[in-house]
Amino acid sequence: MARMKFLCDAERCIECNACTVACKNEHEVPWGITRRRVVTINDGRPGERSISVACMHCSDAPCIAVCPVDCIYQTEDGVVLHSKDLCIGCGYCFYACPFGAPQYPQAGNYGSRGKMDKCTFCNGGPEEDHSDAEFQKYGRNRLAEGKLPLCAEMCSTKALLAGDGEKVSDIYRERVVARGFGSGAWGWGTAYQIKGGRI
Amino acid sequence: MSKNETLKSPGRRAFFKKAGVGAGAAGVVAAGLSGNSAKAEVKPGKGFKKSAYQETEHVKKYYELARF
Repeated sequence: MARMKFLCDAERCIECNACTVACKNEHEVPWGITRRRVVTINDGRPGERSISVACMHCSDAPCIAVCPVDCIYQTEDGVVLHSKDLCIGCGYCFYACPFGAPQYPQAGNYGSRGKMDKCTFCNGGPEEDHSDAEFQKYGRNRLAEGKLPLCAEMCSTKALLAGDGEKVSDIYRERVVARGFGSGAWGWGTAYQIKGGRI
Repeated sequence: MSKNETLKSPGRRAFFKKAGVGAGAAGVVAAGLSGNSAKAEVKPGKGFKKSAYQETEHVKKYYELARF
């Protein structure tokens, strides 16, 4: 079975932030929340690289392990989704996430942040596919439409790759061989490394 | 302490004792109700949502274009 993964090719990302905008627009993401962000390291210095970061849908997701109300779960495709009906806004998932993906609509202390929001790999939530409730809470369900996350689909340089992990890694491997170097599949070790025998 | 006050005290204590028992009972009932409602909620688990990914023509085209 296909395992959904994101891969950002830092050699190609030009920090255009189109992935961020496309995501915000496609899912009508609320004010103050940005599910995908472009991070630049060594800004203005030699070796400057930009990386598009969002929820990586980790194999052994730490957010699932720490959620006190078990509102986060993984689909058969490996996509990490959550239920906004069950979320209590405690913020534990934010502290556990190595990518800083979970976000909240309000600033505040424990329990006053509102429901957690994060990238859904364009796969909606636990509600019925393509329902109004699903769209309002989580955004569009492109995966169920036979499409892939919009951020990756419209990336102009194809720096951001999404889809079947096997296909995505093959594409990246071909690129590295063709250009003779690569900056590493950023975040893959953290997100998809096999821990304790689980993939 | 006057005689009148001594007579009033037991009555007041009895009132608070009854009120305490009542509040405790209400708490037990409320806990029971909330327990039931939590059980009725649909809890997501692994495989709550079935596989949605399909390798459609659209997806194949994306993989092809990403190879440049």
